[in-house]
Amino acid sequence: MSTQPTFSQQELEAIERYLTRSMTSVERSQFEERLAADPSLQAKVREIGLLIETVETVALKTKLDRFHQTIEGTQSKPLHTPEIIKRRNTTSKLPLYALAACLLVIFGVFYFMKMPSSSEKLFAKHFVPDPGLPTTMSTQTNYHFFDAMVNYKRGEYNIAITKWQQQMDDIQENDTLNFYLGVAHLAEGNSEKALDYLKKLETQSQSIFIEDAIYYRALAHIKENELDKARQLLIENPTQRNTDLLQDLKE
Amino acid sequence: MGERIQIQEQFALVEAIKNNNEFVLNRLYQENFRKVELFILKNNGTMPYAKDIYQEAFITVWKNIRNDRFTPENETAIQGYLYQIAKNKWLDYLRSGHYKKTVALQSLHSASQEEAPPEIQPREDQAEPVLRNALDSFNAMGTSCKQLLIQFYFEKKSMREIADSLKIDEASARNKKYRCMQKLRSLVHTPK
Repeated sequence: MSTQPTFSQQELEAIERYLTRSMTSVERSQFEERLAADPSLQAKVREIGLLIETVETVALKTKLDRFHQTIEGTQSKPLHTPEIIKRRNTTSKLPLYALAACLLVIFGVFYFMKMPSSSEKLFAKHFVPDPGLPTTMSTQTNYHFFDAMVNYKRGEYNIAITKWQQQMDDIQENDTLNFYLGVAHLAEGNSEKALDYLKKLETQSQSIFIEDAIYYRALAHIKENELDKARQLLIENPTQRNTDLLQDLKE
Repeated sequence: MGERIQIQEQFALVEAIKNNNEFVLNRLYQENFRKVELFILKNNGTMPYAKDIYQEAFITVWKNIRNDRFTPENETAIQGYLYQIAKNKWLDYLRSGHYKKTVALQSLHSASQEEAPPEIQPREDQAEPVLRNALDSFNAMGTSCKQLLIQFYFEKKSMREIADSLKIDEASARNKKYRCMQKLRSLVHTPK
């Protein structure tokens, strides 16, 4: 239970008028003087403000539900199967099967013509792009970096690379930028460029990305079919993940 | 010149939102839902999620405008702000432990399209706790209190109008409002 003092009807009405800016300027300045000198009045203003906000929020929520009902084609009832899935069921599956069969033949021929090398298979098995840094609304500083991070997380590596590249022109030695530019290039299949960026972290021994950078460098070397270089890196830095990769490399 | 007019429109929109103008709120809601829905559907979401996230974002925008924490700086500021908040709320949800757990569980089931996948269960239990508490407390009151408080605080009706519709005198209506607020206060402070 709250220990805050309860308010009288007169206080409620005065505070309401203050909060809704319905007081005359004289009345308002008198009220503000009292408010500055009286902490219990301050507490009451806060509490009544919150109660009014509660009433308004609940009323708005009810209204929003009503507004939503008029939006056509949406499934506002939570227990319904989403329309997206339903729609797929209602269409005829025949053309889809035909398309699948054609694709299978094309891919089959393509596969035998160009079998991926074992190093590419190994790369594909182990490469998972770094999950990225959390991006929140409140991130005011370094907006451009986190804006690109959102693209990165959505798998839009090219956009992220372009945005980060522009920032790179301003600052040269930033381990975070070098790391994510490297991983984004690797995700795009450009292992040579990835290596350029990731190697820059070598000189930044205090960076928190150093261990991850070595792992991704090893993967980039594997993709380039430079297995000796990958092996050497992994042996020099024996973390659990690196040892697992090394094991796979030996097989 | 055109830009200035549009900025003025944004300020007019702010005023209308502060006054809970139903027509304006409804238009703002309808005009921006599809874009948010599309973003959520493209990013592993479902329609019920789109609705919940959009409404949470809408309430946040409304609250920030109401409390003067947001001032439009360009001609589509409010619409952009609403989209950005919804987008961030959805990305935060995707990163949340709850989502990851749900997805992990889902992969254990054989994916039958006839069955509703677990991720589209109602999200109500995860609604913001403050909003949840407010909803519960408010709904625990009697209908006459709810109506009176909504008419006065949300619809901004005068006590005279409310008293007339209740067929009581204004002093009794004011006293009733006071008792309703005390009731709400005690409900909000009661541990759930």
